[in-house]
Amino acid sequence: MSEAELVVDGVSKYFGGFCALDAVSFEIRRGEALGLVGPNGSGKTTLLNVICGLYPPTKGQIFFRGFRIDGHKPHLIARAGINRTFQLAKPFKSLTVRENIDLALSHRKGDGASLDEILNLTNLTGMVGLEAGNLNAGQQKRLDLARAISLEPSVLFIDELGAGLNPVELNELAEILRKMQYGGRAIVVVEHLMGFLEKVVDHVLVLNAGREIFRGELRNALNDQDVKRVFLGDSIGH
Amino acid sequence: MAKVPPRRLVSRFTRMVIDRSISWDLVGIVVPIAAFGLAPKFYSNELLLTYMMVYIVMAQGINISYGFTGYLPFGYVGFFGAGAYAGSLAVLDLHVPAILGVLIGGVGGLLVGSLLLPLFRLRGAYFAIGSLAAANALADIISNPSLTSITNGPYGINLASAYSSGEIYVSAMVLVGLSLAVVFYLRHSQFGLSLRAIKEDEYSASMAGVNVVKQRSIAWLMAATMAGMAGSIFGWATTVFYPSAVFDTSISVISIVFALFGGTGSLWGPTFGAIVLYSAYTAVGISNPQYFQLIYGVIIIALILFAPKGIVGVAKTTRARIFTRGKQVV
Ligand SMILES: Nc1ncnc2c1ncn2[C@@H]1O[C@H](COP(=O)(O)OP(=O)(O)O)[C@@H](O)[C@H]1O
Ligand SMILES: [Mg+2]
Repeated sequence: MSEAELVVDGVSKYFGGFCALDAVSFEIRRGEALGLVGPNGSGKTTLLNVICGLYPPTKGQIFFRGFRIDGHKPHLIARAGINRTFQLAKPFKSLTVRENIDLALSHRKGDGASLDEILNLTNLTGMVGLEAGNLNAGQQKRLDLARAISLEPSVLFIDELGAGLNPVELNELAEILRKMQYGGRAIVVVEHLMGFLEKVVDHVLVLNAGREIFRGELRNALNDQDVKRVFLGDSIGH
Repeated sequence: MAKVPPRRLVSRFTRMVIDRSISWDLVGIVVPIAAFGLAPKFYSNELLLTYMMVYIVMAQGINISYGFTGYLPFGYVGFFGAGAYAGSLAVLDLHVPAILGVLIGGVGGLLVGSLLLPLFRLRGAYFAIGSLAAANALADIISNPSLTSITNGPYGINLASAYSSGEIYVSAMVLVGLSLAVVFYLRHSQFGLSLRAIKEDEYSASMAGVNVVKQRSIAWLMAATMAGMAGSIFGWATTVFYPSAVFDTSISVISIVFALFGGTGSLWGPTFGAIVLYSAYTAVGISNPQYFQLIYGVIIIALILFAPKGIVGVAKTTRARIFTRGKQVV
């Protein structure tokens, strides 16, 4: 087995006295796809934020290709090869689709997909001259994804990309993500929609209140007592 | 291997020429400079034209800071005053030619700009107020009587020995050209793209690989250097001035109004705003500066709320509406 691309080791994050992440650990290798699941507020986005350098972890360490990266500047983490999409897609609205992608491409270190290939993969070819603010929600999400893959990350986090998309768009997205995985990337998919997850990942890490409650194959997760309780509680809560 | 075939370069060049916004911006550099080159033939008050150019540079500096990075520096005059003093003192004490004094004024602005970089830890209104406090503090230091031997303290500066209306006028024109070239560069380069991205969302920009702190600092220092040079030309042209004249907060306020009125983020806007409003300002006369401050305060708020892209923005949307009328908008 090859060495892990990313190692997250006992990462905790406190906001004031509130513990949003409690000693979370996991590893991921190239070509793997991991689902990150859990009810709202369980700390999924916080975990992405810590790994991608928005803020440092309160405790724990993060290694990328053997180098410690926790606490590093986010642009260095992005350039090194870790990237993410945002739960609320955040393309640069006053920039055109082309400018959005060009900006990220200009910071890529090695070779990689061209503008046209990225547009093609994310299905944005016809929109290259439009300002991102004029795109619809699904297109903005795909542009966010395009921005993230432009730096050719070897570890890519996808934060609830499926929310608000219709079944056709979801299928399209699952297809895109699978292609990326076969391209040798490691992908971590944060998602509520089980149907969608099934198409993309086979292993999951389930969080509740910042803590790991399950790790293993997706189909086993669905039969796990703890997971069931948490998700049942979650759906009653809504 | 390098993967830019000559064909790509050619197509890039044609794209530049064909791109309407680039040609339009090139015209935006050439026309003002030509106009100021010809203006003295038709209008004899060169000093007023020089001040107008100084304000164009200041408005473009605000454009760089606010239009491209989203930070509104109410203390922008601090660089202006620092430049006026750095340039003048170099001329008076070190006996450098006044033109070199203008460059030294730029260095003065640059140095103060570097000292104020920690201000970026503040956001929004706090940044605006923090920069204002810093400018006032600098003014207090320079005008302090105990520094009379160095800055001449409250007694001000007399540059009569260096006066040369021709040199001053040409320097101002060159500086206008320089400031327009910088804004042109920001509007059409990767660097400018990264600034616009930072303005929208810093963290997103960093996830696109942008070194936010570095890029924003460079833009800020460009704006500070420009204001320093503008201040030193202002001092040179004014000949005799007191600290209060080159550290007057209304210089920041007026520059901000000019930039916002014309439209930040564009190349034409701040030039246009400075020319139109400075003319109006001079025509009306300044009998009661306090009222002007009040009026300008109201104008700033109104512009930010109702016309964030200024006259240029309004013109653009109007044109877009006229041309797309009846057509399907994608
Ligand atoms: N910047 C922050 N400051 C304070 N609390 C936060 C912050 N970010 C997230 N939280 C809290 O941490 C918890 C986890 O949030 P989040 O990671 O967004 O959950 P998820 O993505 O799983 O829905 C929530 O209770 C949220 O309110
Ligand atoms: Mg979330």
